[in-house]
Amino acid sequence: MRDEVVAAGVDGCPADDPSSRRRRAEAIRRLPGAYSLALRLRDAGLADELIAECLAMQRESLDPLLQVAEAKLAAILGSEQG
Amino acid sequence: MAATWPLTGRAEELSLISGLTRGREGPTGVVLAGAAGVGKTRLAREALAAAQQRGVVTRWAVATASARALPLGAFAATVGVVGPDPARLVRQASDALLAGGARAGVIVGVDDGHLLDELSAVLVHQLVLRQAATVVLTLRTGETAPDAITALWKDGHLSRLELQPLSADETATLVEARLVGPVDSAAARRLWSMTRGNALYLRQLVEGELESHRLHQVAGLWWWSGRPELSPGLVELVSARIGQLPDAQRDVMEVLAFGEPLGVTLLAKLTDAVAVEQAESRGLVEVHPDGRRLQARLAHPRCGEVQRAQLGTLHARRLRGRIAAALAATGARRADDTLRRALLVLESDLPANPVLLTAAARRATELGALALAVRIATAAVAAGGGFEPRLLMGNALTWSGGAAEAETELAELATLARSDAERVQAVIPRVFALAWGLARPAQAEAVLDDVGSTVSDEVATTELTGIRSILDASLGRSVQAAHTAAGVLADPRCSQAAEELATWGLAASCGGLGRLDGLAERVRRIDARAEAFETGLLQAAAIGSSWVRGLLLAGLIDQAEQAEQRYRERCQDTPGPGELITSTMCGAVAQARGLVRTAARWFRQVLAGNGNWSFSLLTDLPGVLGMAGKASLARQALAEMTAARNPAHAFLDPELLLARGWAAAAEGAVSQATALARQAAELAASQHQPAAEVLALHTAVCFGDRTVADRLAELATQGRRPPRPGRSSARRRPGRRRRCGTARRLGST
Repeated sequence: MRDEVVAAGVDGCPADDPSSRRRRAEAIRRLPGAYSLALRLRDAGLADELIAECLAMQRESLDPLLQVAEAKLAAILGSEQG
Repeated sequence: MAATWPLTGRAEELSLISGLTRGREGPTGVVLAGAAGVGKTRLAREALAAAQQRGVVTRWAVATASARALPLGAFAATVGVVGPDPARLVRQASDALLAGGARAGVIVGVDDGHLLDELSAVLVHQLVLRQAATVVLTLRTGETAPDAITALWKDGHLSRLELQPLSADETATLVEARLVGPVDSAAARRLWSMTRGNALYLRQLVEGELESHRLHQVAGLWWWSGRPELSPGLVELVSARIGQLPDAQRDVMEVLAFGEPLGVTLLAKLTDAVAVEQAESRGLVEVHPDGRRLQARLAHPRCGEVQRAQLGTLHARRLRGRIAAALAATGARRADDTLRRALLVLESDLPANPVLLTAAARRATELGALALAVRIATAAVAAGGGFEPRLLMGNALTWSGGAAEAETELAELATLARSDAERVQAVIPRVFALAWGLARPAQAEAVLDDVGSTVSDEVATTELTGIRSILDASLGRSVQAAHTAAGVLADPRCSQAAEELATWGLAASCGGLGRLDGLAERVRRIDARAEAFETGLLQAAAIGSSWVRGLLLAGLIDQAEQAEQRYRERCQDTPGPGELITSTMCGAVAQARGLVRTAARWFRQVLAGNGNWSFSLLTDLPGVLGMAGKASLARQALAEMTAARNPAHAFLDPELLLARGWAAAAEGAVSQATALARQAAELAASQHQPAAEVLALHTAVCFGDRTVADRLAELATQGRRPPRPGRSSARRRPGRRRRCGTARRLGST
């Protein structure tokens, strides 16, 4: 069977180029709701307290949640490139 | 099939937990918080298992409501100590827990930490503060935990991780791992949407559906048919949880089970504002902003199912009536409110209202919810709704594979039409039913001619001409179709319905013609209307499907993919034709990119879910399987496609010949493959589909044909101005305006 062809142009782009931003936004959309919202709010520059309030969670829980969210985002972006 | 449920979608959480439980300085451990069933216990167990593999001694304690009454109740089984002095008890328990862990340490898992008795909570607190053991503790979000436990994260000793339900992708991966095979994407989405990624509900649902064989394999793909039933395990689980609630909160759950989503203000009016707040705090109800409203819904759809199943019929009918009346009293201004209100009324103690039901059937059609449209339209007809609901019913039946029933209904409706407009409205879905549903294109043309001879209204005539352009394109009369469609679109009397039909005819003909100029804008207009629900979702997707074919034939794969994603997003919650059409688009785009396995998966998905759509939607499947070297599967798919051939889709015949070519090539019959590709090119040329001809010639080159370069070069340099209708291809004169992009790219192959 022919090998799957990897879609072109998924890596090597600077983080701020439109294509990377679009891919990141798309990947964030695929995350579970709370992770997705947390990253979008942080990208929008909201303070941690406010993000925790929007997510209806305690401030102490935000850092671990963001760590997992970032790791899941990296996994999605990585799987697209792989 | 895997006997147990694997752990997937939690790699990142496990990695974080691993880091938090292996620290060398300060207290180590983690608090895993989350809703019931989200997977906290499983994750904690996995963390302990990983530690055990490193040689760490593991202890596991489960806190329960009943053991809470006993001092150290959660640890009684683990440490086996009793005594009257609490301080001594804690020390003895601590020693017992830490025994044997001098070398690699001890990790203590505590499940449902919010249910710990005070002394057990103190024990856990001390283990952490003394850094005597690593602690992994789960607790349910929204529940109050003992102070000693809360202090663990409040005072910064342990991190608290809020475990989230699985995403749609993670849910699909988990189910595929359990079933050891690919799952139809619509089924995966439904599973996610019904469980919202809650691992426990997902397991209950999948196991129940497997047992009932509604979740079954078709063509190598796991397919989910029918409505899921509530497994006894799930009913027990949900009932136990709801049974513990105070009456006022149970009322909130009941009203939402029948009416969700509901505006918070309306819900509070129907129940009790404080109870709504309490249900939200318990994580039973979710509140989300929606425009200017705050909408409440049940946190887990399956809770609603259990309640609906358990409530008595009369009580449920009265409840629906109350909600419908309350919705009506608010004005029910949104289009979706009409549909919801109609559905509530249908199964309530209120009388049927034909105007409301007709509006709701129209809305269901616009949303592509065809089974629902048929059901509501039928009720509207029974309530004396007249012509429109019958038309809506016929139309929905046509689209949902009930062509024979639709034909009967629409033929009868035609005799009831009182104006030219109504005669044309009735004949349009009838032409679809006859030509594409029942494979009787000649009869469809005869019906069109018949109605055309009686209609004098000019606006209605443009609509008739619009549907004729689609039929022409589908029958392989591309030039005639494009000409007819362009005429309608240039006509100042062209109605919105005529514009949609003619755009469809234009998109269906221009793809093969390789003339996409101006078409993007026209398709965008239809898309915008579908977005605003002025045009049916399925009609827009069908037009989009022709548009995507044209883009692919022109080699514009990126644009085709963007369009495909747009339609897929819109149709993904609409099982049935919308799903099939967009899955076909996805397969075609993947095929164009050379992703043959992905393409085959999409096409198989269509194959598993289609009714009488097989030929038009799956012409490419044998070709993809042939490209993948799957000779016998390609031959089998080819036999099925050939048997399902519909003469109303004659424009696809060149592509069917190409598919036969790929199947032959996979069997090593390269000469036969080449001959078939050339035959496909000749047929495409005779149908004035130069873009399809280029594809066929290019395929011949792939098979090793060295004789087609001249014709490819000719197509590359020829203008694409088509002959006037009725002129043969042999007499076609090269124009000067534009070239065929695909031919230009492939001419040098």
